[in-house]
Amino acid sequence: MRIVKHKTPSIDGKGIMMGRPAYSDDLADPNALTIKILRSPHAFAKIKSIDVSKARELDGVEIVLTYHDVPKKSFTRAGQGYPEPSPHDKFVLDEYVRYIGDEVACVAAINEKIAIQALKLIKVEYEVLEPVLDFEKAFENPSVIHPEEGIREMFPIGFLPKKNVAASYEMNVGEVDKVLKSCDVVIEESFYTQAQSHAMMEPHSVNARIDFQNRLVIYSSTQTPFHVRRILSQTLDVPLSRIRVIKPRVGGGFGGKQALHGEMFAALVTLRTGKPSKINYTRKEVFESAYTRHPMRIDIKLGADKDGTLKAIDCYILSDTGAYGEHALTVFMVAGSKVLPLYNKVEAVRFNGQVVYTNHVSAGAFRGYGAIQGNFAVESAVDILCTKLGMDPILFRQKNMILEGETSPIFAIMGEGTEGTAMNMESCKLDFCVKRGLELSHWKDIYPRKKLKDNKVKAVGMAIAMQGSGIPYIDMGAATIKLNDDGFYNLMVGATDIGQGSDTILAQIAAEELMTTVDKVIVYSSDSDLTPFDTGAYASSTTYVSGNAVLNAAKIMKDMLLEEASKALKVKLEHVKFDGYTFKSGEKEITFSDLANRLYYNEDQKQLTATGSYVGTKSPPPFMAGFIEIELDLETGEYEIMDYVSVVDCGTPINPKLAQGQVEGGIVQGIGMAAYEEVKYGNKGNLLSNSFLNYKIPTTKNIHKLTTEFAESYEESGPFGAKSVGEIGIDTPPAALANAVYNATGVRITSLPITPQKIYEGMMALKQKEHANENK
Amino acid sequence: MEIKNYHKAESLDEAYQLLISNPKNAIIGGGAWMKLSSPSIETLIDLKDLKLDQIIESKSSIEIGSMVTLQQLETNESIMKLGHGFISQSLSVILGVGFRNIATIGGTIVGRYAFSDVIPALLTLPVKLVFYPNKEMSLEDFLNLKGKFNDILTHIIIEKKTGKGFFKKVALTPLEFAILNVAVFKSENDFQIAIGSRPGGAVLAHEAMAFLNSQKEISDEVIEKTSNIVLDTIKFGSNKSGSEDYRKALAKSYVKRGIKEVTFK
Amino acid sequence: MKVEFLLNGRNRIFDVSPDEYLLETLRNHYVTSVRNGCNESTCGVCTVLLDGKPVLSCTVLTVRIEGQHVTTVEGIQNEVSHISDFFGDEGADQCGFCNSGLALTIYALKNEYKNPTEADIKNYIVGNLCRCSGYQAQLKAIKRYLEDNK
Repeated sequence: MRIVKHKTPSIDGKGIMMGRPAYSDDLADPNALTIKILRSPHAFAKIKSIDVSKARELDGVEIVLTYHDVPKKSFTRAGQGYPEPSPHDKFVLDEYVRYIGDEVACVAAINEKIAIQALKLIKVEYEVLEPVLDFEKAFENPSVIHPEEGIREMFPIGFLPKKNVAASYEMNVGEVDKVLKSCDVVIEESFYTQAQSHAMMEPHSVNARIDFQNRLVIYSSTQTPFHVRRILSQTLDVPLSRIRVIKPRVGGGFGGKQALHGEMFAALVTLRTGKPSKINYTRKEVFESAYTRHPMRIDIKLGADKDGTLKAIDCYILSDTGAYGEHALTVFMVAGSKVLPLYNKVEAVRFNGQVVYTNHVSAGAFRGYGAIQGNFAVESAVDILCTKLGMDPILFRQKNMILEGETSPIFAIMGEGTEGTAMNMESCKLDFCVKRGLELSHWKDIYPRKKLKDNKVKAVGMAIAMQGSGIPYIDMGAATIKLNDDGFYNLMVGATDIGQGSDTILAQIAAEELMTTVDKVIVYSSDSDLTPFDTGAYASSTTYVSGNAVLNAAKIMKDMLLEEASKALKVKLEHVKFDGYTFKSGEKEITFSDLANRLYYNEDQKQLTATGSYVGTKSPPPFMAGFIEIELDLETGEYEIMDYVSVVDCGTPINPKLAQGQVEGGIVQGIGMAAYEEVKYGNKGNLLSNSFLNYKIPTTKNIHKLTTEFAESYEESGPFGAKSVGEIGIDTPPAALANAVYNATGVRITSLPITPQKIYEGMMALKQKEHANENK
Repeated sequence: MEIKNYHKAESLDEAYQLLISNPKNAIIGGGAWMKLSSPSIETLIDLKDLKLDQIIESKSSIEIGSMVTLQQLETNESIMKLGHGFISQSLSVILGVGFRNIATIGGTIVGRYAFSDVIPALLTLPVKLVFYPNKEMSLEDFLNLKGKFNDILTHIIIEKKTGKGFFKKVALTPLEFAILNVAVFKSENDFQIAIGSRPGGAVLAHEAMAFLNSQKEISDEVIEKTSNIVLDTIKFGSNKSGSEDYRKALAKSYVKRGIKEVTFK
Repeated sequence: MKVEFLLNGRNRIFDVSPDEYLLETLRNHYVTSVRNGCNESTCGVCTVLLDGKPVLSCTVLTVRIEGQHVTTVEGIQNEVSHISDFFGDEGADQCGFCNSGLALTIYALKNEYKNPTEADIKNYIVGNLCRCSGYQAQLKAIKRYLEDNK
């Protein structure tokens, strides 16, 4: 391959660094009204009365909206395939407010200062209700968070709002209780994973205008422009044909922009006033009023025989979806479906649980999407089991983990909200990933730990992981290739580049198939009018699904070109050969650029375009093995992460440098969740971690070394052998770190983040236990 | 911030008169720390033109203008030499250069921020603050000052002392407030120990220092006892960054390490 | 009130209110490369150079910079293009939102330090947060740029 599997600079990095206007707010209409949202100061309340008269009178205020002024249709903000697996439990504005930061009223004014002033003039009388702030007390709590009429599930997901349940699920393979009883060794443990904030560098940003065809045009920093269009149309009763949604450059999403944040208000304000409008979330709003990751409690039971055969896994999850149920069922299911198949040879598996409402910030999609939470629990539990078994954790995994050619019954049973899709692992290099990772991490020299001077210790820990590549039979992507004179192409894709480089790698796929170079493939993406459909940037679907669509389109285009060349050369189609630059048949030839010009201007003129679509029939998982090396201070519990080794099987990496960037970006976010980040609430449900001063994401000084390699792997069903690489990087750090800390100190931390204080307290507890035992 | 008027002062006296004329008037140093608290100000008084941005080293002291930025201070050659660089180190951990090129040492000290990294380090040196119109006091006295104080900080004077300093900021990531700050300075025969971000503001551990300074030999037992006195006499507390017990454990470890480092390394 | 300063070498006069920050002033005048990541002095996205030194434009009051010189990437295009070559080659540019502010910081680092160590580089850029890249590729690109510019 000349272009695929080779590094090439992104097609847009230079222009962006040089400062060209590119992001949503750069493209807002200069006369746009500024929208500000009045947000609830109470975790749970009912609006008794709301008086916006003074705000409306303020000079410079164009419009003020309350729940009296907006459509009363419930919807889901989640950007997912329709009908969505998320309950329709949100109103544009409601008389209930369900978390501190929830929307109460919407103001649009000629500038920000006046809009903020207007917010202060709105008088609201609340009936304060008892909030539910502990997700372990949410089920059947007397305080019902969604008592209102008009909400519903789109298909059965276990939606029981009167019991504060957003979704629930159970699946069984074999009889897990019976098998557990027959095991030589059983371990049982509960794990807590915290809510995590996406903290993408660009706050949510939307602007709207009416164009000269009297259509609503939305620019949004979104991962799902087509879902945005549909949801706006359905909720605001505007025909789909009158709405255009454009996604410009996006400053990071990671799932935090896989839903509507602000689009509803920009659309309404512009429709009602006829004027352009914009809404830019403040950083505080991004923390408080967008999304977090679902915090979970995960109860794991593992049963094995003395010889190290894992026989049973029992997994119960309680997940906190916060005030609204976007992604409630699907994240929870992925915690099982994209972790449990790693140990595919067990006799029995049970996976069940509930997702409950609380008066916390809404949880939503976040890279990993449940797999990181499930991975922390299962991969920690495996190490706990190994200790009890007296078995080396590497040997245990090598004995029990899934290998190439194998399958797991869970693939057929668990999809995303619905039934799954059976599949064999046509490409699975997990065994290589583990072996190679052992080498790169110097595991054998260090495991479990090595003493250093000054009461410090070096230790290693590891975890394996899998993810998916798109959602089979649901996620569709499409691409259109247009030929231009002079011999270059436009590639129009619905696929959503949010910084992961999809525009670039899709150009590479097209260039490879069309035998041209990346600079001759001009990408335009994510415009609901001009680009074909794509579900959007989520579920690690872009390389696999959108990439296959591009490949299909390129194949069609190549066939068209050969056909036209045969006409131009007046020879039979079978006799034409093309090398990317020239069409040859015996002595006759015509260059590609000459053919293109001929088709535009001279003879047999026509515009060649080719559209390809793709829907996956399976979701081939990428795999990885992650190895962490830490240096830990036995006196204070402080530790530093010295190296993180990642060996990844993503099939063919279309662009090795960009793929490495995806892995490493994911690793560092995973390290953030494992070690530093914590969404924290005060007693009243107020978010304490609402700025970068309080919410600590990893900085460049926290990362000493990252070692990343890709396994030689080829997935037949993927474009040029590719699977996906967007999420796999984030899954392993929490368990790898927990295992390393155990190896360093004997302290098993079962809740995230793994802080020095927790380690210190664990070491103190161990010392006390030792003393108590000595004194006996 | 809400600011009604902005005025660049042409003299210290003009600035002072303007400051005391209205309780809602304020002096701006860098404005960096100020922005984080979003005050509402009638007239903002700028000392930019009053040449308070110099660092002058003499034989016995280093005189620092209150408008010197944190970055300017951190990279100044005289400051970098002080105590083998521990003052510069305590400045280098404050957010990033983009912040430190704005924030001033005057604004940092006047704010008396409990989480401050540089204040505990400065506390271990003989530091005198000079105010306009006519007050002078030690840094420690200023930190303990109660009640309203309208005088304008113009200079910070550090008496040069040969010795070695130690500074440790305990935090998970570099851009957050410290869980704890520990500073130790040893000159000739005198130890100074300061603890900050307890979460309370920086204080000198006087009883521990008195004990340590009375000892002929700095043995492991002496160091251990000194650290215990710190725990007995300094108040620690809990907040969302850490518990009281954990802060105590950190204080103990780092006071011991600090003393060892300035004595033996 | 009126304030006059040099923006990328050109003398400009702006009419601003006393509590307007440089970030707002610049964006209101279509200097789109300077972006708002947090507006609370904590992320580094809005970094510009003030008299050659990196500052957070969200934390500098425009009224205070009379006569001073502001540089954004629009003012040092060749240099930034050069930096972006290394970022592109290392795959360090993902969403790009932090890149313009970071480029200015890197440029200032190059001017301030003769032979920065890795620790010097990290200390200098630590205030430019990035959520996409994991920092390794950025560091590689910066080292190569500095090496190339010796």
